[in-house]
Amino acid sequence: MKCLTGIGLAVWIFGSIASARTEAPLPAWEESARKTQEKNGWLPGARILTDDAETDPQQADIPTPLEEIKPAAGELTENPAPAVAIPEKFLAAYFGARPENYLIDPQKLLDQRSTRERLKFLQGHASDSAIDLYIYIFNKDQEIPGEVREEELVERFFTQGRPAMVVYYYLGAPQQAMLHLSPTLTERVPAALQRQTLQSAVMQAMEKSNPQDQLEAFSVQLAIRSYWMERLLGGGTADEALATGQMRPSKPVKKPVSLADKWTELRPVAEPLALPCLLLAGTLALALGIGAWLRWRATYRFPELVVEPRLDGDHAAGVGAVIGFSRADLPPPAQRAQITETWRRN
Amino acid sequence: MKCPRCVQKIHRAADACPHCGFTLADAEAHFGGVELNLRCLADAAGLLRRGERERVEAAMERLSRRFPQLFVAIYTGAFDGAAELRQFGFWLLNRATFAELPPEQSNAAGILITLDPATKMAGVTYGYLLDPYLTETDTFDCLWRAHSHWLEGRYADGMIKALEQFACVLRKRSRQARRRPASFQRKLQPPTHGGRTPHPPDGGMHPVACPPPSAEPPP
Repeated sequence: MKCLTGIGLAVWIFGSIASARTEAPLPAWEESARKTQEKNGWLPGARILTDDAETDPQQADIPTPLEEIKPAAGELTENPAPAVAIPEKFLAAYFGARPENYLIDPQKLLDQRSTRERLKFLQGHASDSAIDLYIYIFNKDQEIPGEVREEELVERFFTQGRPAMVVYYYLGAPQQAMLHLSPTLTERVPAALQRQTLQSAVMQAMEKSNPQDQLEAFSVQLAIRSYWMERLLGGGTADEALATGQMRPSKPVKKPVSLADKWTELRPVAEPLALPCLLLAGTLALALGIGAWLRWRATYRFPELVVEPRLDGDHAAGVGAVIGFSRADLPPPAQRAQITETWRRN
Repeated sequence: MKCPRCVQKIHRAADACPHCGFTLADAEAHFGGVELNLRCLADAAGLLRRGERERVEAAMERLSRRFPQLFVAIYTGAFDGAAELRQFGFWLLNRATFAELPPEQSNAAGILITLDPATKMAGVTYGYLLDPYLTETDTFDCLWRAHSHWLEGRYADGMIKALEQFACVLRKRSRQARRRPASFQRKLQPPTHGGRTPHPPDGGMHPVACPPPSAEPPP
């Protein structure tokens, strides 16, 4: 009995499940009634009482995902190339002694023309400025050996002599450049100004694409910025230098040229012209003087016309204007006496 | 040209003012008929100090040097109003003899500035030589230049300024006279209508314009 009850229960359960899986049919229009409604233009429940799948307008607005754009080959960051050591044969030339030239390039990484130009520029800077600028040239993938301590090297080589800015410059990678100052400058120039100077020079260099041009822009900007360090050496304040450092100078700042220097420069040009100019100015002044003297000496005459005497006067009968000056509050024309008192009384 | 007494216009060659009958005889009756000897700078009112007097005399001399035909005289005194100031100027320039002038120099080439510090008035009279060249406006411009100085009692400065302005005006008129002498000669000629008598509207039954009675030659 129990067994039958269990079977019956199972059948009922399975029957319920089966009936639940089969959906009840949706109500449908009779054909004649549907046509009648369609004639009226509107079929009630037409949108919901249908088996056709309807597109959801919200779903229709969902944009299709974009295709994944892969970076171009040139845009991919290359893995940094492994650093290359500086050949040992050049180490002595780089770090063995205080350099004799302002440009240290024993590897000949710069071509001859660039070397000549940079050297000339650095020499010119040294003659104009109180601070020398030394530039060590390395290749961009080279690294300074670990046993070389740049700061100690600069301190050792540049303690004597003029103040110096020493730059380790990597050709083609100006952002890797390092700036060190000689001990006399380090005491005076704050670290912020040093950073600013280097940053400014790097930014100038990065505007160029050619490594040689980059070096030129870098060195020119360093030379410009060295002016502020020079002012600090001369007793200027760091605030002033830092404040001015915010601006990017558009052209190199030159030292003020004294009048004597200017005269020395202009003298070769001025001397040949001096005599003609003096003669010209003298002639002009003489002409003006003569003109003024002639004007001063000039006399004027009137044609003597025959005028018939009037009012029995032998010499004059012409009376001119009469003016009163009794009142300061009236203009002169208002004080012009044009009517005789006799007429006024009348 | 205006009458010194009534300030009405008088025409050329009028023996007496057609409006008030004024003549030199009237002025002589008022101011005296004697010949008067004066310096060119006669400061009867005592306005000028020594240094000022020298400055004014220097200015007068400068003007005379630039205009060799002309001379300037200045008289300061007391008068009874503008009419008397004018009449005095007219009388003085006709009757006075100026000490600094050479005997052959005629008063007809003179410019006389009269100034009265009491009534605070100043006037200009000029001789026949300048008659065609100067106008009343010219003389007023010269006095105008002096006005502000005289207002403040700086009489010498005012006189010098007036003389400077006279020099400017005279220089200009001299140039004009040299360039266009006919325009000044025309001022002295009797009025004509373009050289021909216009046709009268009534067919010529009446004369076009009657000459003023004083302009008619005496019978």
